[in-house]
Amino acid sequence: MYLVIESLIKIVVIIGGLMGAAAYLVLVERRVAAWIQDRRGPNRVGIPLTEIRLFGLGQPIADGVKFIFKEEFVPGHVDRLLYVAAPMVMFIAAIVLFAAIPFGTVDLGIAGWAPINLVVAPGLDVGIIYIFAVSSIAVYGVLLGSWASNNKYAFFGGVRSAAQLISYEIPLGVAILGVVLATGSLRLEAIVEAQAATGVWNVATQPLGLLVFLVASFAESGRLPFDLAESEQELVGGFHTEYSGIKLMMYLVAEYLHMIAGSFLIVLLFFGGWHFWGLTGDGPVAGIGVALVRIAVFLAKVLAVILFFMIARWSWPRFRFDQLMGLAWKVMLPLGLVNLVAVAVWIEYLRTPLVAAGLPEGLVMAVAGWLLLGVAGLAATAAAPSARDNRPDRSLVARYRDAREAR
Amino acid sequence: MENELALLNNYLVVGAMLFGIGVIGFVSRRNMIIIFLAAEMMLQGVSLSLVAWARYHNDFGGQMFVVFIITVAACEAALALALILMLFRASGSLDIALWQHLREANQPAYVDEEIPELEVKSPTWPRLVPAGRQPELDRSDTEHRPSV
Amino acid sequence: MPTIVSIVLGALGMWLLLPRPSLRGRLAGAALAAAAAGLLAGQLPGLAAALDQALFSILAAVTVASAAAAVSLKNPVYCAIWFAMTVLGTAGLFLLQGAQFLAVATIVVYAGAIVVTFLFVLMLAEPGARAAYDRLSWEAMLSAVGGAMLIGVLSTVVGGLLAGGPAGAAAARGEAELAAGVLQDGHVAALGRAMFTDYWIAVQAGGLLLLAALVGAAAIVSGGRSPAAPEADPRPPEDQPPAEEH
Repeated sequence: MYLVIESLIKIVVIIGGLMGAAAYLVLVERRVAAWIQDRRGPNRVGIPLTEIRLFGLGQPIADGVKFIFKEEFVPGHVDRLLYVAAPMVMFIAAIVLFAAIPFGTVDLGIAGWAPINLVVAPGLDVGIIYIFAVSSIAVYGVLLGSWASNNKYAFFGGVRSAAQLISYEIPLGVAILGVVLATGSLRLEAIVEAQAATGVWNVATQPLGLLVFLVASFAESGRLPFDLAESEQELVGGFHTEYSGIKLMMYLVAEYLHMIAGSFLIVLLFFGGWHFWGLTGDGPVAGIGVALVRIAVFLAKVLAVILFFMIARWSWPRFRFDQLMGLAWKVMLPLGLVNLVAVAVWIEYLRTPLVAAGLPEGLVMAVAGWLLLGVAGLAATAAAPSARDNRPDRSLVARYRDAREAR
Repeated sequence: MENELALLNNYLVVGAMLFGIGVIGFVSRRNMIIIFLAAEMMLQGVSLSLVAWARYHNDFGGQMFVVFIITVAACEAALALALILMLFRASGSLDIALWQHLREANQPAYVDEEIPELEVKSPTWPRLVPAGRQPELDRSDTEHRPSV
Repeated sequence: MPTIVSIVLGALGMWLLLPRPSLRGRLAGAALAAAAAGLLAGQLPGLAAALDQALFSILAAVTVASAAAAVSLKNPVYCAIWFAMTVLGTAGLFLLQGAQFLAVATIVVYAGAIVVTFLFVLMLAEPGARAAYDRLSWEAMLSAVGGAMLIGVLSTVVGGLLAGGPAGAAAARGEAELAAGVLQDGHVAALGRAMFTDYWIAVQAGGLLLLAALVGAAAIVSGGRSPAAPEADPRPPEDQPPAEEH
């Protein structure tokens, strides 16, 4: 019975925190974009109904109110059921993803109470695959919304976006598998505790995995440099061209939630989660003070990764669609597999002799991991055709033209 | 506890229903992809029964079988979609009745007797909120009549 | 103690809900009353089993209804979406039986990959619900009767609805092991251990099958183009020499 109350409180905290975070991260993104582009961002909307400009902190409230008060109409030419249901599917998938993200375990010290797991779904044995499964459901929101719009160009954008999403799920999974192999468990709490126990974060021992996961995360959230599907300069809006009002807000918030979830995962899998040497303890369960420090450290790391996502948006040009797909299948997937094989070889053959010989395991793995990153990067750069010629393949044009004339 | 046993029966019945609905769909639909969807549904029904039996006997063999079924279903989906794509290229439509010439020699051909009419809904135009000022109504004119 | 809390909350909630001169607090009253009802229901002795049954009933109803919709709708895109719903329902039923890994694997593979591929093909190849072949079915009466009889036979024989069926006769077996919770710890470890010790041949065969399917699908779709096609001029059309008149 207390489990139900505990779960309800956690759900309310997570959903409230996420909605607030999504709203304020839009403001942060606009300010960061402005800073990069050498201008100010929104800094006039402060406390509503007054003249106080509180560094633009009232801007998300104003945006939310605008979205809510927009006229809620359904165009006459769309497939009504799917048009209304698709944003909901994507939004639900984005929120349900956060049911498996752990924030630590706190022992409140009250007699008779077990340590509280700060996760919405504490006992989930398949933690990371659950997140993977729910992010595969988000593809439906994009595909159905674009098809329901009954608009050739929106559908085109949606198909591209869906193809990008399902192509980058595979490097995502393979990069996750490297971390899971090294840890020996699928549970996110166990992955974080393993990094905390040895003090060596997975970024040091598997940097190639981090690279693959980072690129795949960028693609899964549809952020630049992978946002051809909704590129504002080319296709008007991609799959959300025909949307407005609250439905559009659901799509945009779902995209932000995917970015936030990707950042959470990067920090959990590769940057040690709530662990920081010297500040937080090493053990899995903590007292209330250390637990608060852990949550603060975790959120600070997640914010740093989110800032990296935002700065990256304005640093690199957008990939063309065939470059994007080629990157997924011909570069990221082989690199991920190389990482997986290297971790497997390490665990099976090299770990026991080296540990028995007295070498510090973390240091050796770190050296080997960064060497592997360098070698793989050089090999990919040497083998990639972008080193020679980046133009699209025009021979196909001539071939199709001949085939069409021959018919 | 007969709760557990009742649950096993229930799972088997649900699995049987999924299988049966899959059979009905496979045999009676004409769209190639819906036929294949029904085949996948049959596999789902079987998987459900297998997991129920695995739990009942406390044996991982049933779950392992289901992992294998998922693998086979994925392969089957890839190959079936490739074949459907080739058939679509050759015939221009996803109708399986166009390939009737592959039937057995002593079966009569299937001919569409009557095709149901496609109901065309007249388009519903959006109703816009009237903008601007309301026209001045003569209240005395409207209030004396029993209906406007 | 929870009973007292629930009684107090229930009284407060009902007082807020009942008609009073001022209408404020109706929503809070409804929330409090619902919370009180939930707390009181948690004190019922047989609730755990009843919740289990209720959850199973809801999931089973959703699954079967989605399956029926998936084979009977006219618009094939809707059929595919309802099939995805069926797969989600089946995954929920797997989770309810303690097979967590199978539940998420089903969602990843079926609902996340197979149905998405179906949707791609349907959306690109289908003229919506306007095609004649979607509004007709072959021998609807015969297939429905045959399918229903199949379901009946399977339920009675395998499901043991008749007394003395194979599942009914095994009621005396100890079901204490089955009382292990839905989210038991170490499930993935145990499944993995079984997968790679007892059934590793099946795993290898599965891998080989996937490889064969990958190669086969690529070969089928790209088959027919002869590899000795003459290389077309890779220069863009404006740079190529003008085509000569025939």
